[in-house]
Amino acid sequence: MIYLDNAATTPPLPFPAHESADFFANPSSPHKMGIVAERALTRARATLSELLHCAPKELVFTSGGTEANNLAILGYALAQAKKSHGLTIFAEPWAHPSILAPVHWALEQGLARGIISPAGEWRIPGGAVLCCLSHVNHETGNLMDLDLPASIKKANPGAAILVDGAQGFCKDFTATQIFRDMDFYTFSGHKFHACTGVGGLVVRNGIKLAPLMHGGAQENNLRPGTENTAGIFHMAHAARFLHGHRDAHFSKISALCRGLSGITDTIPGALRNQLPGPLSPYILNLSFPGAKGEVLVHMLSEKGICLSMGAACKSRRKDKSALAAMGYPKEIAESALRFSFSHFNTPEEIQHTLEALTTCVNQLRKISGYK
Amino acid sequence: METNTAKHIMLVKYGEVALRQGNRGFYEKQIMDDIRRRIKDLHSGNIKVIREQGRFLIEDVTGDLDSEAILPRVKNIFGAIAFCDGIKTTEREMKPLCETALAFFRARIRGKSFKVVTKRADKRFPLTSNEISAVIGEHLLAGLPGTQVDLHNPDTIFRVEIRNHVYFYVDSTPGEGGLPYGSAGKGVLLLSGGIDSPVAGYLAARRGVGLVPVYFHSPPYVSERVVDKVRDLLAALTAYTGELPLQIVPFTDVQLYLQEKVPAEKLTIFLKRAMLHIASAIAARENARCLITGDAIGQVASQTLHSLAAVHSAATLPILRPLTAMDKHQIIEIAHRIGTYPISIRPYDDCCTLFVARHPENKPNAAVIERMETRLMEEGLKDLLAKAVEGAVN
Repeated sequence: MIYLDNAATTPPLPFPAHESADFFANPSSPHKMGIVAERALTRARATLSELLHCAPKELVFTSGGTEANNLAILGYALAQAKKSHGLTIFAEPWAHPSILAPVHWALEQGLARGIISPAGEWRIPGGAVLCCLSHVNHETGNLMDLDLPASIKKANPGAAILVDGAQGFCKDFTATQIFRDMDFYTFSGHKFHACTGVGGLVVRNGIKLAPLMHGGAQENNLRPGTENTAGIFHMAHAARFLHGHRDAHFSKISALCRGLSGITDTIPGALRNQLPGPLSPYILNLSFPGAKGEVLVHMLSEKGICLSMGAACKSRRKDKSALAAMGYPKEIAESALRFSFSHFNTPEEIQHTLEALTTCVNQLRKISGYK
Repeated sequence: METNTAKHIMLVKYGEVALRQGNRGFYEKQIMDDIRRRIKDLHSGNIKVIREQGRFLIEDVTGDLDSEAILPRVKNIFGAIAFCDGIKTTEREMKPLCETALAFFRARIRGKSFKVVTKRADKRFPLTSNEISAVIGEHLLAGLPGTQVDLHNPDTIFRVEIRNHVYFYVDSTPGEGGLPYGSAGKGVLLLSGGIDSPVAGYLAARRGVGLVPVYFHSPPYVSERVVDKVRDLLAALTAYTGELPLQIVPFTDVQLYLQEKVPAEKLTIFLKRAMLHIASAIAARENARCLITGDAIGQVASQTLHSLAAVHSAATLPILRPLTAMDKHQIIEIAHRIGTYPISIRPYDDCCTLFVARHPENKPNAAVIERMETRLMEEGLKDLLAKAVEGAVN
């Protein structure tokens, strides 16, 4: 199998063998084993907060990116509802559903008074402002415009900036400026070779959030429930490993992405889907008009190549996709494939994929009568 | 137990089956066997299902029957029209019967008025139905202060049945009706994964047709998840029918061949004919006597009368189309009731969307189509169809 769906989830790294896994006990327990677990958790928090350029107490562990985005958006909206004259939220229409859905829900519940695309008017008269941005877009790989947070904050002093780092953390190391400008940063372990079920949220010191769940004082009273110590520990290990290999991985993955995107020169009509601006090499979105993306995915899957047609979170629903929101016509959006890479991929795999892809596109175009 | 001589039981009423002169016994046995099969794991030999003069009696020989446990298991059996939760007594004398009736009905009266309706199947019983109702009614009236008899619009109807034993009940749960599953023989059901075909299968099964479900699969153009979807649809139907092993027909080669050989606007008709050819062959192999499809007149281009006429000759057996005269909303209503609707609307592309023409012909000429097909059969279609039939496996 050739796995090119790393933006959906990545293969987890092995659990570090030399580390003791004897921390199954509850980190809140008073006994010796509880203390062992708590220490492991503290160590993992220290590692991750260093990589996230934040203080350990600013880091809240969650079950993943979706929960982290919900906690940031709804927690902030709830906290603001008590004191301000209404919250306005900026959200990119092509953001991940874990941003868009809670934003729309907040609006429906009367917790926010409006949603605005950040490309439009920035100055909001009166009230609080929350601006949701993505470190790396989940469908096209577009990197965030690093000047945006400062511009928004200049126009709206006191605006809070949420950056969804699900596709950026441990993959793009250039934008350290993000960690300076943001108020919330969210990430998801399984997008960077940890396991599913673990992720987190950085909450800048001084920003008030209301918890969405109740029943425990864990994670600064923001996220009750016994901590997933083993998952968090493993996530810290994966993050450290990726930071240690950042340069080697980046150049390897850049080469793989370049290799595969070369197909736009050999297949007529093929194009790379993207917004203007710099791109992450971890995600490559290609359209092959005349060949439906869903069918291509099944054909390639039969040939042992796994990828997706856009965000896997949306592929089972017929919602508007991020590409459609970006203004791509139906034919392009429907024929789009998302290739996403990890350091486990090899040039041979890319070569094999190029050949299979060419065969499948030609075969499908013959059926659809594409000229 | 309700009293010393009475105990809780369940009476099962069956409809049309009772009218079958020659093979009533055959139908009855089928329903009883089905009931027995469905409750087998609930007991260790103590629950009996027996004939009781035009009813089936489900009783626990060791005491009261737990009908709440039984009902969900048996309520979907085709052929049964009602399930009555009541008591049985071996008494035959009116005085103790009146006492038992009072004890039972006292707890079950709703509102103020009631009437007693008696059915006397055992004609040896000395009083007539009306006389029994009158005697018991009088006793109840005396024993239930504040109530009155209302023969026209009572709040509660107390039911008495005189058979080998005497039964009392108030409420009954309606059954599915129809004929015992499989009693009519077998039919091949062509399933697509959409809303209609499972409903068509359900309706045919309710008239006693045993289902041989067939799905035409075109990998890699269609997701494996569609196979799961079809299996889930069948799982919903098994509540009525019992096990339904699916036959998956490998259809890709036929589809690609026809896609290449016939004009785009005629492709759907040729594909449907190919499916009917294959289904007919599977029917012969499985001893099935008909094909069942989810067609409804005029729903899409391939379901106009012209199109139905143009596919007709591909089948060697009668095609049952239980939905022919239904509106979509009626079909959806049934799909909701039998639990297939939420499965059917899972959004996976099926083969239709890829291979269908933008403007398919809706008035195909049957003679032209048949002539073209005869030629294609000789050129290789026949072999491809035979291969698909051979490749159809559970």
